[in-house]
Amino acid sequence: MNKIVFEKEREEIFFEDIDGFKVILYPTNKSKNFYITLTSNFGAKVTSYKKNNKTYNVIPGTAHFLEHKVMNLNDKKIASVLEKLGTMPNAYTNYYGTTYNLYGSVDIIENLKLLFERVFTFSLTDKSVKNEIDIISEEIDMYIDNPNFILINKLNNNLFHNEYIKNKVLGEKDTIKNITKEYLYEIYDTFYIPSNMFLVVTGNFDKDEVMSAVKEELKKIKNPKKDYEIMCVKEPKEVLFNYEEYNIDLNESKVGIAYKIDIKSFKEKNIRKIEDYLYFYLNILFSSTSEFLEKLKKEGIITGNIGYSRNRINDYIVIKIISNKCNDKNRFINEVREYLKNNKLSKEDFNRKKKVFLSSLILLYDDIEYLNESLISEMLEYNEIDNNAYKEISSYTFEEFVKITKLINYDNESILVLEK
Amino acid sequence: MEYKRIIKDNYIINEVITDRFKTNLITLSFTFDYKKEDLCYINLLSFLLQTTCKKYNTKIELAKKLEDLYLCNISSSVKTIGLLKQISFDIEYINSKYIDEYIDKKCVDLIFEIIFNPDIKDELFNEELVSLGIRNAISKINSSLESPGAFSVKEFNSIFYKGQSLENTLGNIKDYEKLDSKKLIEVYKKILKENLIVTVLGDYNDSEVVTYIDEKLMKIKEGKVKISEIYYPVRKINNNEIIKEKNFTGSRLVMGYITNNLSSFENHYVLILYSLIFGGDTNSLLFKIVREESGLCYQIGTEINRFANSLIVYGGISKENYKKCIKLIKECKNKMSDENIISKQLDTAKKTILTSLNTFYDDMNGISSYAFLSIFDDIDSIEIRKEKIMDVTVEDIININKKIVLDTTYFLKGVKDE
Repeated sequence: MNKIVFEKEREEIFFEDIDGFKVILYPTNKSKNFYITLTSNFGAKVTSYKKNNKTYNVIPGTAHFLEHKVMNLNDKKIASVLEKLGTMPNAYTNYYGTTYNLYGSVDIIENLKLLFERVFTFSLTDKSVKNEIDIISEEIDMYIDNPNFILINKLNNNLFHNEYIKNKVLGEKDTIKNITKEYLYEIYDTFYIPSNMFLVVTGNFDKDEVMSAVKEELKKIKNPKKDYEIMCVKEPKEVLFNYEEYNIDLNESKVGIAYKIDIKSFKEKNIRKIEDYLYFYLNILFSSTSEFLEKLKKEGIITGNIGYSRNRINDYIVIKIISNKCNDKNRFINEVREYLKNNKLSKEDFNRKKKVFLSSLILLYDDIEYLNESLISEMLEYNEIDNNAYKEISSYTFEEFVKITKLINYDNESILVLEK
Repeated sequence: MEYKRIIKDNYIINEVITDRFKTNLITLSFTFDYKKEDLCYINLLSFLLQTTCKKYNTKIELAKKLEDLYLCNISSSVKTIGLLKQISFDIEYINSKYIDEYIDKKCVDLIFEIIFNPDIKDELFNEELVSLGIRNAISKINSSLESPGAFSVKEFNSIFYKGQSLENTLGNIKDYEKLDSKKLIEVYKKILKENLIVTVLGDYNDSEVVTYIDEKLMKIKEGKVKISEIYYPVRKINNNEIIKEKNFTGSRLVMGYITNNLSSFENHYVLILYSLIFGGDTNSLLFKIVREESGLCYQIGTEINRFANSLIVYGGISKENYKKCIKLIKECKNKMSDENIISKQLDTAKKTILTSLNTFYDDMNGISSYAFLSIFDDIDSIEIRKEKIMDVTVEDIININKKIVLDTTYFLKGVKDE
C-alpha cells in the first residue's frame, strides 16, 4: 500500500492499484462512521464508444438509468443485510461517473462485501426496466420546471454543437423509453468492470483489514481489460447560438453569460493550474469581496449574488457568469462584458484568495463525506490523488496569474435570458 | 468530548471541548417568543447584522476581513423551535495550530462587533442596506413560489400551522414593503435583552476563549435569562382537503398528521422510529409500496417536528395519481398497526437511527445545537439516546399509530400541459 502524505494538513491517505482497480483509503479515529464509495468511470459524458471495431451510441440518460437498476434496493437479500447493519445506501450520477455509496458505523467488512455484491451482480427483467422508465420520467418532471436547471441546460446546449454536455444527465422522457434490458446488459458488461472503477473509503476503519477484504472480493469478480474506446466528437470552436431569450413562468429574470475558450489558447500544459487561476480570477471579480458586484446591486441591475464557474469540457474551458435575479438584462450583459475585458487585478486580492484556497484544503478533512467526494472528483477528472496541491498553490505567483488571465479569449460568447 | 456550562443571571455559556475538527465554532443565540408582527424585522436583522458592522461598514470590508482570518465564516440564521424563535450568529474559524498565527481572540472580537456594534447612525440602520435586505427578502419569497416543491410546502404550512410559529418563516411581502425603520431599531434593542446562550466548541487547550467571552459579556449583556416552554400545546384536529392548480408540470401532495398527547419517551424515541418505518427512507412502507411497487411517484417521504406535534408526508406525483396516492398512503398508515409488518421493520429502523446518531459526532453544528437545546428540552446524551432507541417495542409503535391523526391534505395540481 502506498502512503500519500499531506504535510501541512497533517493527514495521510493510502493508495493501491490492483490490476487497474484503484483503492483510496483515509482512515481516521476522529469519526465513528465510515463512508464507502464505489465509482465507475461511466457517466453521462459517454455518448458513443467503440468495441471490437464496432461503434455503439449511448442513449442519453443511460448512466443514470443504470444507476437506478444497479442500486436496486428491492432485492430482498441485499435489503435485509442493509437492514441488519443499519447502513444508509445511496447512489448518484454526473457527467464523469456513477457512484454507489454506503454510510454506516457497524461492520465495515460486511458493508464492503455488500457493496461489491450489489454493484458486481446485475440482473434485470423487462418489467423492472419498464417500471424504471416510469419512475425516471417522474424524476424528469420534477426538474423540468426548475428555472435554474433550465438555465444551465439551455446554456450548455447553446454553447456546444456536439459535446456531451448538451445532454442532460437524466436524459429525456422520449429517449429513455428506448432503453431495454439487453441494451443495459451490454453497457453494464462494458463499463462495470473493476479496471474501469475505483473505491474510496473514508472514516473509522482499519486500513489493512479493508485492503485485504477488497483483494478477497476482487478475486470473485472477472476483471477483463478495458476493451472499449470512448469516441470523441469534433467540436467547432464557435458557439452554436450567441443569444437566446426564453419565456417561462418566473418572478424574476435570469441571465447567463458564457464563454467557450480553447484550452490551447492558455499556452500552459498544467491544466490544474489554468483551472486554479481561473477560479481565483472569477472569485476576485464576482465573489463577496467584489466592488463590481456591489455596484450592480446598488444600481438595482441585479438582486442577490452573481454565480460563476469554470469547467473543462474536453478541449474547452467554459466560463459562466449568472444572475438569477436580474432586473435589467441589457445593462447586466454590457457591464459584465466591459468588466471582463477591463479590470484591474491587485496583488493583495490575489494573495488573500490564495490564503482562502489553502485553508479550504486543510478543512476538507473535517467531513468524511465531503473528503470522499472530493477524492472521487480528483480521480474522475485527473485519475490521480494530488498531495502536492498545497505546495503547488503556495507557489502560484501574481505575475503568472495576470499572464494567464490576459489570455482569456472572450470572442465565443453565448447569452441566455430567461424571462417572465 | 467534554461539556461544561457557565450559568450567569443574564447569559449562559456552553463549552464543548473536542479535537474532532480542524475548525472552532462560536455561536451566540438569542431566544424569544414568536410574534407574527416582528417576523420580518427579525429576518431583516439577521441579514443586516451579518452583512456589515460599524468597524467594517461595507460588505466588502467585512468579506475581506473574513478572508484575512483564513476563510473564517460568519453566518446568522433565524429558526423556529416549537414555540420559540431563535436568532443566532456563528463564527467558524480554522484552529490556530494549522496556521502560523493565533486568531481566536480576533474572531471573538469580530463576532461581538457584528452583534453588539452594528452600523447604526442617528438611531437608524444604513438605509441602503435596509433596502437591499428588503429586496432580498422579497426576492426569496418570490423564488419560493417558482418551484412546485417549495410552493406547496409554503402553502401547506400556512394552513396546517395557521396562527402558530411555523405558519410562515419568510414573512409577507406587504410587511416588508411597509417596514418601519424606527421599529427595526426597537426590535434590535429588544433582542439584545433576550435570552442569550453562547456555545463555544473546538479543540481548546485552556478556557482562555471562554474567559475572554465571559469578560466581554459581563460588561454589555442586559436582561435576565428566562427558560420558556418550547412544546406546542395539544392541537385541535381539522379535516382539511385543499386542491390548488398552478402552472407547473409536476404535482405535489402534502399530508399533515397531528401527533397529540405523546409521552416524552414516545415523542423523543418512538416517533422517530415510527416516521422512519412509515416513510423515512428507502426501506419504508411509503417508499416500497407507493414508489417502488406502484410506481406512482418519484419522491415520497415523511418528516416529523416533535416540538410542533406534527408528522408530514411529502410526495412528488403525477396529477392523475392523486386519488390513488392518497388511498395507498392511508393504507400504509393502517399497516403501521400491523404487528407482523412492524416487527419485521423495527430492528432495521433502530440500526438506521443508531447510524444516524453516530453522525452526530461528525457534525459540528449538530453538537453545538445539542448543547443549546439541552437548556430548553429534557434531551438525553447521544449514548443514552442510543440505549433508549433500543428499548422501543412493536407495541409502542402500534400504540402511537392510534394517536397520529390526519389533519390536512394539500394537493398542488400542476396544469402546465393542460
